[in-house]
Amino acid sequence: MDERDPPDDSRLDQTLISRWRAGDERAATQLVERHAHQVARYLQSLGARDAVEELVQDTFVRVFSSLDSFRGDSSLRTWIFTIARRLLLDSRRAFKRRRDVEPVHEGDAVTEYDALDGMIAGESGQRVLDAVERLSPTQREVFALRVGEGRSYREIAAIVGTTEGAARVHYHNAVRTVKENLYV
Amino acid sequence: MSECGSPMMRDLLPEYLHGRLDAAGHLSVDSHLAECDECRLELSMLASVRQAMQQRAPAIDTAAIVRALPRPTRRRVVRPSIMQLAAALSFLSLGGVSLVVARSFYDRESAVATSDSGRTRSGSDSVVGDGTRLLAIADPGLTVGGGVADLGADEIEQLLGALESLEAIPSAQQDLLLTEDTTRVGGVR
Repeated sequence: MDERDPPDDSRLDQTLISRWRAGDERAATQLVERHAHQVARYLQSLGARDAVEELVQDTFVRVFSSLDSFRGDSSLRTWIFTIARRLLLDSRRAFKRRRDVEPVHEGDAVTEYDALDGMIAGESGQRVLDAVERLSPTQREVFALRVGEGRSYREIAAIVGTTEGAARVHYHNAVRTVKENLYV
Repeated sequence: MSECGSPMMRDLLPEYLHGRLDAAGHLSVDSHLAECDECRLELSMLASVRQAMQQRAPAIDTAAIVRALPRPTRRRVVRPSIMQLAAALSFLSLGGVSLVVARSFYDRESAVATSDSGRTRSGSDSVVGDGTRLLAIADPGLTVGGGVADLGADEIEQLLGALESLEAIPSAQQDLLLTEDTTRVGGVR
């Protein structure tokens, strides 16, 4: 497991939230360190490219501003992912509106899901990511949440806004397609 | 290569990869992997994808994020001291007693005023027309709690019973009651 990838421990998160509410600002640092890298990865898998860091920051500001409404029905990480996804969609809508009134430059022609062309260490890694990149947007999102972040179908359904059954179907179709892309 | 005969085990591979299974689940997948080539290959592919995703993840400055966060709003729980509680209770008690006394006085005044006008109009009509007035005349202390509107169902029944018993009293005594009470209160006025 990546050292930047702490386990999704709901009990620890609840303890840290309580400490932060009681005024312990170090608890906020721990919470951010526990989840920020995963949020960044998830946003990147959704196609966020240059603005990932800004989106991650906006996500955490939103999370900490509305912690009182977090009921604990899902894990904190799942809830954070839901907020990050919503912010990304909002920023895309805003970008679309701006593009409608401003002239489009060549560098602005960013497709929604072109993030998997980022820097990677090895060629095999690039091959794997190329195979993932060919998935449909929904398949790629579900696949990234399941394989990249280890989310359950239930959590994926909550984040993406679908059913567990649909998430399962998207995942299995994605696995089949990635295998075909890699081995055929 | 052997094909997987357990879709359920295959479905658990991402959780296995992320260490999200309990001990029993982890052991079951371990045993399955030992004999399933297809799942071993799939797990290897999933591990490669995961590693590639982690390697290309953007660097995040967590300190900058923390600096941008709102400050926690501490909730102060106000706990009154025993002296404050005692003072509040005393104030409420005094206020309640004053209110009761004031209402009692007001009801007696009203009863007298009503009985005066009722007697002028039609003799004993005012006595049986309003239970509160009647009781005020029979026993002024009974009305300190308020009027008929404040009474519960049981109390209204009791009041009606009292009315029935009063109707059995000869009219001369009723007049006497009225006269005595009116005179006494009127004397004060």
